[in-house]
Amino acid sequence: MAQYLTRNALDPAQRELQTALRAGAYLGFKQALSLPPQEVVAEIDASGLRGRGGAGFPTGRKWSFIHAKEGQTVYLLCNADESEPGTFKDHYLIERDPHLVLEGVAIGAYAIGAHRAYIYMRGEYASLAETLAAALREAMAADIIGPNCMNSGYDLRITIQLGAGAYICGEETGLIQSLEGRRAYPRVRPPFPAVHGFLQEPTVVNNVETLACAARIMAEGAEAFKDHGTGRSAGTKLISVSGAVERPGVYEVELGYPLMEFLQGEAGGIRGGRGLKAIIPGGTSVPVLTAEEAAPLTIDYESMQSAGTMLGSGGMIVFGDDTSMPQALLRIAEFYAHESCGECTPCREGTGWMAWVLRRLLAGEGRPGDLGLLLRVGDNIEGRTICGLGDASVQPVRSFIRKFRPEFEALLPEPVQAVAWQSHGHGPRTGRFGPPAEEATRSEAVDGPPTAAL
Amino acid sequence: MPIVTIDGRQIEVEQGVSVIQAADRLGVEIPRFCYHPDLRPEGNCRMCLVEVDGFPKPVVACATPVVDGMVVKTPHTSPVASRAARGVLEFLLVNHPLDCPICDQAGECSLQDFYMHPDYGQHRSHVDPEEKIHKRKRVNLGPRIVLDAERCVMCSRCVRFSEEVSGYAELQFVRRGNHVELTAFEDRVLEDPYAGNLADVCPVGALTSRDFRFKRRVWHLSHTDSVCAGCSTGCNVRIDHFDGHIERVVPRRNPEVNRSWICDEGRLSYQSLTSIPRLTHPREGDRRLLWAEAIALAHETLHSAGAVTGLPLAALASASATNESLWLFRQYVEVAFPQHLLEFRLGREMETVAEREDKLLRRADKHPNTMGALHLGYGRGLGLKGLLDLAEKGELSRLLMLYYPPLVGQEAEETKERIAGLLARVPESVVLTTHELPYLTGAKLLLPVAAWSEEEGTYTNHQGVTQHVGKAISLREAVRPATDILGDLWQVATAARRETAPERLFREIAMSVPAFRGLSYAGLESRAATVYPPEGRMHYGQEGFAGR
Amino acid sequence: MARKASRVVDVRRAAEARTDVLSTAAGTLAGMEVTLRNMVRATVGREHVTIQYPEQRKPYSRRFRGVHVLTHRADGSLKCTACYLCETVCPAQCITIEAKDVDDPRVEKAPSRYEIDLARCIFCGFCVEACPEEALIMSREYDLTAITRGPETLTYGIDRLTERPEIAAYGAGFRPHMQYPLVESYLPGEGPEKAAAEE
Repeated sequence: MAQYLTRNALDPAQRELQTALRAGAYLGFKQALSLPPQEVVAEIDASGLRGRGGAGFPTGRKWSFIHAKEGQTVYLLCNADESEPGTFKDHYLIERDPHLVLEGVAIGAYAIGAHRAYIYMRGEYASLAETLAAALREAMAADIIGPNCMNSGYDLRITIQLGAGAYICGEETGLIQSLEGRRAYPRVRPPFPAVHGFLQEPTVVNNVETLACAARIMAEGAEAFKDHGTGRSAGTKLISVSGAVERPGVYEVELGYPLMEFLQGEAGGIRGGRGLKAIIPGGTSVPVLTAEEAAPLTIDYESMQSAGTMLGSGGMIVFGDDTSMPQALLRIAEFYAHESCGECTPCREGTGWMAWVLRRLLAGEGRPGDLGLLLRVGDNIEGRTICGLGDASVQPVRSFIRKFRPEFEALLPEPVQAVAWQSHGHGPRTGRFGPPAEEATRSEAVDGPPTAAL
Repeated sequence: MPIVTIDGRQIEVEQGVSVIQAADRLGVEIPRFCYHPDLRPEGNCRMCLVEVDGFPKPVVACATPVVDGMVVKTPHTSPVASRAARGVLEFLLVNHPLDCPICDQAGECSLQDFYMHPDYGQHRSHVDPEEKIHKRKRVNLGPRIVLDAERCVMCSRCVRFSEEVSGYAELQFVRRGNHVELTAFEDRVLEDPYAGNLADVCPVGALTSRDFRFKRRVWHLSHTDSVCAGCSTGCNVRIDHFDGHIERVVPRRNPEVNRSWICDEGRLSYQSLTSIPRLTHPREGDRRLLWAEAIALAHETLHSAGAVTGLPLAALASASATNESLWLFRQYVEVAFPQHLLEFRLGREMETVAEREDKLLRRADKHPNTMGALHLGYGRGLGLKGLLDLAEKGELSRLLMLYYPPLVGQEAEETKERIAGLLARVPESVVLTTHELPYLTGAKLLLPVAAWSEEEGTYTNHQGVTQHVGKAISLREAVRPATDILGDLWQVATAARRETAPERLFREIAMSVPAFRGLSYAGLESRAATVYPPEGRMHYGQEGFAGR
Repeated sequence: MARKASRVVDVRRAAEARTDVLSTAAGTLAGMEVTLRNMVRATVGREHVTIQYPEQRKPYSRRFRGVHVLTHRADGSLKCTACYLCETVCPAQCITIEAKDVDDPRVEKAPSRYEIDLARCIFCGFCVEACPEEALIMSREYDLTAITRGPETLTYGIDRLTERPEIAAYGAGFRPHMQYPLVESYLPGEGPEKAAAEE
């Protein structure tokens, strides 16, 4: 257990400005204002801070991409949409230490030369938005944030915006679209938000936790940040653990901390003393790990990558050995089918198709070849969509089926000596465009050779 | 300028051109639904995925700008791109209702075309109709458009058209995932005067034209390239006809004139050709004449009275006539009548020719060839009003008029009254016209002429662009092209034969009139834009039905 | 009837035997074998080969391609959705269709006019094969005569293609999926009501 970001979080009075100031709030912002923006970016770059929202992109580099031309307005958007299933760390951070978040936003805005910043918060966090707004009002009343922040001559306006609650609003460009008042349809990249973002102006979108880290780094220096964590994964990470553990919740973990130690120690072990079956380490969008795979891992970007998965948002979901993996997968697949925005074809149709096949598998109406169909549909989504939701929806399906195949195969009907349906012949027709009546013969059609003609 | 290699062929393009545009110029087909040359690229259909060397994943050709040295492989040569396109097409068909037999788009549907292509289609997945997601069918979006939400591929071309082009922004998607559905706000009917284009931009059968609905299967249609005669904009169109009837008019792409669009009034202007009765035979009062009699009578009418009184002949030709008709009309009048008053103005054409009616295409002047008339030396006289004043003073005794009623809207009441007044006051009048019109009944002799779509020729639009107008429909009854009739009159007057083929006449114009110098008929035809559908899509297996 | 095995004919010997009167007669008789046999059967055995058409008629194949029939749905509406596939495929171009909007949300479209010019029809059956809905099938009606040509005689419209006494008299003929019963398509006078009444 580390105490870096959440050092003051247990104090309920931390929400109030006076308490927070006593605990050192806005020192980082003050420090940043005393430096030219490039040096703030350099400091963050030196700390090795990587984005905490899921992708893990180096924050300093992201900020350095902003090159505003004459007459352009730069925007900083703070992504507090936190909609990845199993992730609730930002909620904790905003609830317990809102001034840290505001400080991070202010530093980020200063570093990229933005005078307008938006905190985009998911609609379900309405009460949380009130907490944050109260903190912002206090900070503005104290002239910390506003025109001429802390007498430095730097103007900053922060707006808190509630979304209407869709997963896709947490996607960078979807968030921008939503903030512009449009349907949250992600945009095709390039152009990237750093060039044409919010209102077609240069824009940076950062996660809440990332900005909070930036605040700490500016206050205490890059070296203090690097004291935590491993070489390439510097700092600490908020892990929101849920599922079959005795003590689910948000934990701050030093990067490089052994996964099993965390699970058995802080998280209190598997619920009911059961065995571990699987872990999704970073929100449902990353591949699942079996207990054996998870055993030697540590909580950091590189270790997770070596096991073929990702640290993601740190939304850890733990499955005990009494979990039905197909059922868990159906829940996940239905989530993606429901949350697909419907803009681009592979994700719109593919997520729905995968959920539909899984539903019929679990309803006992599976057809031979359904597992192959699921994997093939996944292959047809991956890498062909506008945003990452498509890829994200494929990861659980593919990893669940590959790693827990026997459980899925048990759902399939007994293999039938199938008579392959010849599409050129005329079988007995059941409906208007009906295929042959026999259920078993469908596999040929469904599993047919899509790539045969290649 | 960047040079790109697509399927092994190189092309140099300007900065900022997308891969799909470069491929279109090379004639390499990249399948697409959402890309449209006159709309902002959106990249949502993912059908145009191509493999680019050095990129880890296939990229969308429509939204990827060409970079120098880029090597692109389309589904025709790349297994990766082919697999991507096939996968996307399979997804598009998962919830497609496959009601092609009752779908008007069948035959010109991108889904059908791409499915038949060996490089993108012909996968064998099967989804039962009961398992598909059903959406609303036959939604009334007003007098122009019918929506079938099930057939929609969510390419958003229509949404972008109504936002970016017409500006009415009446369409949007609702719901999420595979339940996404196109809808008009609160299901209100579309008020967009350009709504007809929605059916054209729709690559599938989701938005179909109510006017064309179920009229004819598209593979039965014959096509003739033409230019809309509804106003002075001169939008390039294609007339689709079957068995001597115009079934629909669709725009052709011409970036200089109308891009890919046409207004609804122009699109439906063909209806006014048949909505009022046509003049079918030469007629003196109520007596039908044979053409030989009619020509002789016309000659007699125009010459006898003039010889006695010595008053000038008033020659009035509508700006809806082709350049060729106007040219021959003027030549005939000059040769046969030493004293004449040549005019084309019925109203304020000269002032309104370039006046916009809206910000997109429509113009106030409802004549397609006002510029042509001006170039050909018309418009230096008195105008209809002036002629009427002369007639009232009794200084006019003969009138030769070539008159076409407007295809869009009605002739102004004032103009009707003036024409009727002129015909009432001038005793000897010959009128060449297309329809039985109440305000023309005062004419001594009425001669039926071919209307738009029935004769070949050229129009010069408000920009001064001369465009070729094709002949789609064969002439009915005793109707003849104006040029033929004028040629006959010429022959009676001068005892010499006159060449009246539009192509020959245009050559004469090009040689004698400065504004037309250097133009040739063949050149005009080849300059006509890409055929509909606007992005130059190929049609597979269509040859079998051609020439029906 | 069993076929005779083929024989090898020695051409030289056949040429030598050409003048042989007897063998010439035998050859003639052999050639008339069938005729003679039937003559004997008809005269002695009184077994007639010809039939007394039109009073007597021979049964025709179930696959016979006779005059067309438009089938209907259970509710009596026309099965045809005016997709024009038959018109498109027709090599004689003898089918004319005009479509109309209908209120039924399931089909939207139906023919307002459906005509087959049977004077031009070559009874190839392509139209029936093209039909995706078994809306157009053929009957076994074969004796199609008229003393004048024209729309009132040999051009059959929707009325005569759906209902005419000959359909029941001759029965249904060719359609693509002959081995299976019609799916949701009914001939005139047939339908779920009739099937229920029979049970």
